[in-house]
Amino acid sequence: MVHLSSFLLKKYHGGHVVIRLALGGATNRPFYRIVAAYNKRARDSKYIEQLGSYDPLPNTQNEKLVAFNYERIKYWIACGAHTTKPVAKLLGLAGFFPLHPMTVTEAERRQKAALTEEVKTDSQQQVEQKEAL
Amino acid sequence: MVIKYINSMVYFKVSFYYHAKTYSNCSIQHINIHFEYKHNFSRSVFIYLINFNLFISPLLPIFVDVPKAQFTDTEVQDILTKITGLDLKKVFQPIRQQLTPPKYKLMTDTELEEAVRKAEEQAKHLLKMPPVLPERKPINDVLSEDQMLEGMNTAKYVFTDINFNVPHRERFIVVREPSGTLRKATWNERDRIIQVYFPKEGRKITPPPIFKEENLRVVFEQDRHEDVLNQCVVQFEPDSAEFKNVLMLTYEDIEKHGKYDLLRSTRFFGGFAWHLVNGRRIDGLLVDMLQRDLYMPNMSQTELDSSSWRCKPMNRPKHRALFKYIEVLKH
Repeated sequence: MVHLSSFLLKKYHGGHVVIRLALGGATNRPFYRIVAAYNKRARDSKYIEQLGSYDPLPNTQNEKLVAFNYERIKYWIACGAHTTKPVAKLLGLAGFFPLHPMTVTEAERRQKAALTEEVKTDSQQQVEQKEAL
Repeated sequence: MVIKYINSMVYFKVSFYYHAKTYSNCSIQHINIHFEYKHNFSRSVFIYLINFNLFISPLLPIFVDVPKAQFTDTEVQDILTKITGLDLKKVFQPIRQQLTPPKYKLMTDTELEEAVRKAEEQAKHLLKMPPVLPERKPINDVLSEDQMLEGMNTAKYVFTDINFNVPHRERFIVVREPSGTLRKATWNERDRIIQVYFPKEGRKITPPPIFKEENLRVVFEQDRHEDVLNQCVVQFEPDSAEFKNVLMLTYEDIEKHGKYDLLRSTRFFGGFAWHLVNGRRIDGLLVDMLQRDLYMPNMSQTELDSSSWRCKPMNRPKHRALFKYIEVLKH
């Protein structure tokens, strides 16, 4: 039986299923589970299904481990689930979704900022050299 | 458990023939000499000789190219299982397990035979050889290159597919580098990540230090080759470079010191024999088997026949004459 989110959510008026990150872990040590849950539920409370995990802190090999259950993600998106921004960004980095526009925008902004920094430091160096002479 | 020997009258036939291989694979030819001897021996007596080399080669007619035997051929496997032997006491040696008090059963003779047969079947299952596969080729697949993502992250992102129905070899494990390239994970990364998400019992995420060369030397001095090989089979994939390396080091050490008996009734003997045959260095092993009176098949380089016979050191005059004849043939 296919879960049609609008059909099921008579209690949650206007709610829908989301694929989002539920925070867990300990103090100063976050750990996210990628989870299909109803929109109105609390962030860490009862979810419908766990679809993966994301560890934001890099390990000894400098890797951030992300796990996705692509089959089930496809199923939930087919049932009308929405994804939140961080999940969409991660899926874009994974290659499952196209790259998120904000990822691209942030990358461009960073490059622009780096360019202006360079220009600034160059001009500063030039000024210092002139003063030294 | 008691294994009975069956005594019988055995007749042997004299015939003289030789197998020959192509000139390119001429290093091992062999002559089978069977003896006609009406006597009440408890075991059959055949003599097998190898390495007649240059003496025989001029007499060889030209044969057609025989395809090289693979490890997985049924005949090869038959022979390797037979030379591995079935020492029940060694196979069912006490392994470190939970201690349970022993169970005693009262059985008739037929029931005892049945139990022995079942034990032999289980021993055969335990003696299943770890596979000899060609080394796996490195993965260099790049899925996408996005230069614009350079400098966004300082760490790599490793994305795995956790679907339970997918076999581990076909799982998608993909790495997004800080430079922006999206590539498939290398074999080492794959093994590590699969162990993280689908842990296998006994396998560690980083290979334990026992597999380093210096530590291996220490372990070999203590004659613990079997333990090392068991751990190796658990830890590494059969077609990985580290697996093959550890196996090779173990085999070299055993061959160097002649400790063939350590692996005799274990599941590694077949692979060991195959390694020696491929390197054409079976002399030591064969001498050891001759001295210990063990099952010895006719092994040739490209075709492994399966005529069974057992060898016995012979001191009777007729056999001594035969030996002299053989020596003459050799020189």
